[in-house]
Amino acid sequence: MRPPRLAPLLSIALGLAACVDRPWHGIVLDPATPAPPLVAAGTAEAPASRFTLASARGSRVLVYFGYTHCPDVCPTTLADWARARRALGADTLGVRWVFVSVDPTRDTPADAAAYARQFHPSFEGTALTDAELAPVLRDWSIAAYPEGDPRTPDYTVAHPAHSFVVDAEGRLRLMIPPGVPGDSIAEDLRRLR
Amino acid sequence: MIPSRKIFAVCASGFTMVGCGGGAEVAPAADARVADDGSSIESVVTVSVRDAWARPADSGATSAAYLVLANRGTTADTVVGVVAEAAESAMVHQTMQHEGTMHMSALPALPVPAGDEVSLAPLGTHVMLLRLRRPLRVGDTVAFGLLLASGDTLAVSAVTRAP
Ligand SMILES: [Cu+2]
Repeated sequence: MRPPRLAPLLSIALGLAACVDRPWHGIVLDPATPAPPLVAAGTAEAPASRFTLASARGSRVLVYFGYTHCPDVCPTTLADWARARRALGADTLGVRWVFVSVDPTRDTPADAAAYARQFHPSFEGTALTDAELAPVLRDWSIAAYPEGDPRTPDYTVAHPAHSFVVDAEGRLRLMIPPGVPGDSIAEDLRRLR
Repeated sequence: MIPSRKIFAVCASGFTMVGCGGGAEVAPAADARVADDGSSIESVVTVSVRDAWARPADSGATSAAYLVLANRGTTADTVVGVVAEAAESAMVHQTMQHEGTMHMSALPALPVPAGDEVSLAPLGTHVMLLRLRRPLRVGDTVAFGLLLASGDTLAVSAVTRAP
């Protein structure tokens, strides 16, 4: 069992969320600090779906760290994203939806992109390489690691529960817990404009 | 939003598929037994399944199925395994959140208390279908059996639904 690295971030968030007049559906990160770097450049062999958070400046970005063999939590979250996108209507312009695989053993960037597109054609997907994964986990204070034997095909991957929301200025603003309905996600995104 | 449909009801007692179309509920078979004092006891296997659905997935990929188990009897039962021809491996799984991280693990025994219902739903307990032998597309059905500690197998037919 790894130490709970998300705990400090969460306790700050929970302590300050109470100060907001109308409650947000997500957990407000206050003060908003610049989002940590997120670089999925791929390798020469698997260059598909290169993504850097820095290049998304000007858009609100939802980021979810998961894996494509995840049949329960990841589809639930991405389906809620799809409902949020529908609820946003025209307001969806300027929002990017990015699924980031933290399972470098099984997922290529193309696998992650195909997985994300199942939920909405506009959803982006990419996969971190082994080398890219460690700094991202450290900078985002999140955990992701295989559970079970990664040499067998049936291992699972522990991964962050929440979706992260980065605003157009590149600041980390919200953590949306799993199970928050699409309409509520849409409300929070509208408020972030 | 896809309306939740009653897809299938299963009558316990053996691995018998019972097509209960039209949302009909099937009364579980209750065996009449004679107790030592000569009185008759209604009991035995009374677990049924409804509202079963599965997530779409490609061949070789992983799907999850969800359903509601209802035990209308007076005896508790336990799901102790899954048999699924459609997948190379199948089991009851549980999703747990611990300090901001999601985990999944096998649930070797899922109790279904007497007179109670147990929901297998997203972000909780689910039937894990690993390494599918064929793709599951929206509208396809996937059949599997839930092995009960009482010795019976509940036949389930889950319809694949857009997530
Ligand atoms: Cu599972």
